Amino acid sequence: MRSRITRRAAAKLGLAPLFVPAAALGLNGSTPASDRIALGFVGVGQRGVNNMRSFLAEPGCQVAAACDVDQNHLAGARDTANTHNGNKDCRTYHEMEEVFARSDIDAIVMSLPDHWHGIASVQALQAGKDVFGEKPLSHNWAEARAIADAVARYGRVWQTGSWQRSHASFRFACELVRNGRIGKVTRVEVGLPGGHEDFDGLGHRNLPEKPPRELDYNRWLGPAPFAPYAPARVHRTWRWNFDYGGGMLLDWVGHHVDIAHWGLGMDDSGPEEVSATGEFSTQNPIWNTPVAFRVEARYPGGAEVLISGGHDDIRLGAKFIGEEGWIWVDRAGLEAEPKSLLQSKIRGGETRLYYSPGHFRNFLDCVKTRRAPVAAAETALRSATPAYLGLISILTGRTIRWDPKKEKIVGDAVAERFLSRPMRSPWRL
Amino acid sequence: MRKAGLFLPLILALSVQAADPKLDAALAGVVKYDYDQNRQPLFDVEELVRTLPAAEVELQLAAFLKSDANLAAKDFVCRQLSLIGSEAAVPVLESMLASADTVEMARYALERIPGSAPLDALRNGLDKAPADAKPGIVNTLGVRRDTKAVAALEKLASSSDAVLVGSAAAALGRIASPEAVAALGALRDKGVSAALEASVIAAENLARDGNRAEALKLFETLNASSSLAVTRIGALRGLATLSGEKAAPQLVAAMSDSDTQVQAAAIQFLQTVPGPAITSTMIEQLPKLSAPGRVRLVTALALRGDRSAVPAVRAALNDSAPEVRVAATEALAIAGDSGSVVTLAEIAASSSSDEAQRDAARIALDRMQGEDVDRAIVSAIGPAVEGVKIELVRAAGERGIVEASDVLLSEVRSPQRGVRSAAFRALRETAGEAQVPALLELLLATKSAAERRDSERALSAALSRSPAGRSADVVAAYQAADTAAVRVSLLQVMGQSGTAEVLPLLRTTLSAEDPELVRAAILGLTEWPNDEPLQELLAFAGKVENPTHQILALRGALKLLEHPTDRPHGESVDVLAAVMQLAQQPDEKKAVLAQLPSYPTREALKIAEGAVSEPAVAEEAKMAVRRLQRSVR
Repeated sequence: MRSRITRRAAAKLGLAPLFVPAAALGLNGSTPASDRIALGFVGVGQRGVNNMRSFLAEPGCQVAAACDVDQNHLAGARDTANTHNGNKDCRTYHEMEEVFARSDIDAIVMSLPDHWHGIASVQALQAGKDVFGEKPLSHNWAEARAIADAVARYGRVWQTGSWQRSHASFRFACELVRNGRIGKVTRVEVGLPGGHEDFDGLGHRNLPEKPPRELDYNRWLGPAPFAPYAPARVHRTWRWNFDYGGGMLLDWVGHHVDIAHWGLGMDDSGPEEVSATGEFSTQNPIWNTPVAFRVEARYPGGAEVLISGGHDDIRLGAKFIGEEGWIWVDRAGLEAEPKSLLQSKIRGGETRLYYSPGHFRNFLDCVKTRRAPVAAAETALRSATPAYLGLISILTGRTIRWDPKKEKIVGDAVAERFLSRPMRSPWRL
Repeated sequence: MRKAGLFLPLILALSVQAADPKLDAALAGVVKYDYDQNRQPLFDVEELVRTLPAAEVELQLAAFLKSDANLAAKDFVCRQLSLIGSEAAVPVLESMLASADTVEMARYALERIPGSAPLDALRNGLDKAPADAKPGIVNTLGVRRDTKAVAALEKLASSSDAVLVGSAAAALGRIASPEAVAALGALRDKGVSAALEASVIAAENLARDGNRAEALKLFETLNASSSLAVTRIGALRGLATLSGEKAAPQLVAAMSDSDTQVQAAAIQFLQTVPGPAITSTMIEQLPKLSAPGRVRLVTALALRGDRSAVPAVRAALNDSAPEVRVAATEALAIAGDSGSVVTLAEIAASSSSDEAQRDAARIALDRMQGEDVDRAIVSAIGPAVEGVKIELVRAAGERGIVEASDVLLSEVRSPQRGVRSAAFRALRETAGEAQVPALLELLLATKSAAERRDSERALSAALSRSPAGRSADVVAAYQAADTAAVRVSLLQVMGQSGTAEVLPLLRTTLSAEDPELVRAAILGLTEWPNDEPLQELLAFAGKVENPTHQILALRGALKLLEHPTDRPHGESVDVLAAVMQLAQQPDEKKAVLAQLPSYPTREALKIAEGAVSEPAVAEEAKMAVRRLQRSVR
């Protein structure tokens, strides 16, 4: 007698996928569970769980897996998914490679520290997964370029977490700028936060400690150079150390500088010259990124972009200044001079920018249509480049000349060395 | 915590010729540095490394590495060498490759130091290095594209250590010299799967190095021989990039591949190959694909930017699969033209279309580019039936088609209520000076309160787009009006239009006897486009006896306060203090407390603290106090 094995039982035995990937079936937004886009979440700390909740609010997808090197994070994410789904289908993993190997998962939602972006993303793309990845695209220029190349090479769909591009007011502001409503743009002032925010009040625990049992610290470090564990080094505040992040500048470049690029039409270009200064604090032995910074970037066509963080003179957001007026846009709203600009409409013969109905929805739709999402990898690479170059300028104390076509630093072999970083053995891209 | 042995400061200075004394002193401060210590000594060294001649600095740093400084200190110094080091620093770094404690920090520096000496050192160090560190050295040789390492890498790629095999194959792919490409071919023949992915990278690097013919040959081999989807996709992409139209046969063949990922990738890559012949080929494939395949192909056709694809996309609006119909509708937002206008409006209006397709049709109508699309919308409005007409009128408003204004004016007289309402809404976005007389006439003539409100909004918008002085007609009409309802409506128009000539009339109406007119004047001033009437409303709130009018005036003042301004924080806080004092109801006090943190001053904090004891607003007050304490501090 032949025994009957259900699909779920087969999956448990490793014989069959738990979900039928949406890529193999007919696709639409309101279909049975087996027809939804199956998502694997890699990195499920605070940002990862927030992303999970945002996806769960969208029809047509389901959480098939959660992965983290911190067991506490993992348990919280699994509970979030299973409570929402009303079942226990969300499987948990310690190593992302196991998630990537699942043939029943369509896409990966990646919310990892910056120093992991390059390796994890390239591996996921190579495994045939589409990826929603957090901004900035990666820790440094070379790894970001590797991600953008892998997206193109494997024909995958990539959405960066630069969600402001899916917000009507940011799109409208950029459309006004692109259609010449403020005349020729001479300058964009981008205001970012400064300082080292102590999110969880653990900044004072900056002396070496034994890693907690729930955290696989060696794996957390991954490609970063060895350094002993301390709570201030890891979750959330990792971004204040150069081995894992790049301070507020790199943390926010994917938002307001990204909008500056969108408005200037620089999604396939970049600055030609970057000069930056930074202020550092020695208070915390781990947090070594600048607490205040000012980056001046000159773009083809003559526009200047001033990126300021930790200073009061530049307001948060992006302010486009043209020869005939200005437009300021932030999450708080839009302002313009003349004010009548805000009442104007984009006409039929004018440039329209990419319409995204919502950042998470846009990604899911593109997984089905294979169109590049609104914050594609190549775009995110270009948006992050002023920060990569700005940090190099701060660290070398020199003005960096950049060829945006060839994507090369011009005439400065020392500065060029900062575009990439060696990785701890055995990690590689 | 890892620490090394004793500190021997003098050795450093003595071992270096022409040592810079400042750097020597700074380095002495770093010798006992560990991960838990203040970074100031590191900053001091970094500053000197940035400013002193690199050659001199390098020798001192290299000498430091021979000392028994802490490992954290040596790690820091290796990072400095990785930035300014030259071949002179290589011997000491090479000597560190044999130790588990120092191999990684030394390799980081060697990876970044230019020239052939670091590569020789890494190759020499490979055998001596601890096992865990070997993949790292192999990776670095790959990053540096060391052609002399090919033989050693080929050997490692055939070993039994899976990690080393992966690293070595990847390194060969990066190097992509003729020998490396041959080695990868041999590895593929032996069934080393890591060689497949590495070969795709090698082909890309060959192309990047200018060796297009070899690159093409390798891509073709990989496409023809590999059963791995990821390898075939990489190869197909390479063929599409390098050969363009000539790659069409392979790409078209891949559209029927049994692997859906290969199929999807082939469509995506074909999209980037220009030319109407490719468009035709793609269109021919459309009926042969499954519904998900048709979704992808319809989208790809739209993204090609080839107008000859538009009819096929339009035809897909009637596809049997609903997801294809939605995809085709969405695709028209990108590629649609004037010929798509009526069809889209019909879809948007049709109760038989599903909701997703109706939404997509509206978005396409709003966002299709081209002035001819605007003209098509305007000319289609007149003959359209009710539902379709409403969609076209809505689109005319969303697109701000000024040229549609006269057509819209005729539609506000439509016998169908839905059309009239849509036309009024659209006129708010399009009407200008030319439409002011007609809209004023409509407002004065209508007996319906709802339509008066509609025409009031459209007239306000038209006035706001008109030159100064155009509101004189409205003021004259107000003075001639014989019903309170019309006067109230005209006062609203004046407020919303925000033209200077109506402000005196709104101000004087605050003292009118008819409470409805006073109410309308308050609301008119509240709608003012800047904060000019703020003090007027505040003063009025201070003396008016009618409690409803006072509440409206206070709310108006709070609204005007939110307009962008150069007003100093202190003055804004004075306004909020006055509103707080006059407010009788918790709602207005809560609104004050919500605004206070926008003006972080001690006075603002004092106002918030004063409200903590009022039970009805205590929670909001505490929140404001917390926010203000953070920013005032």
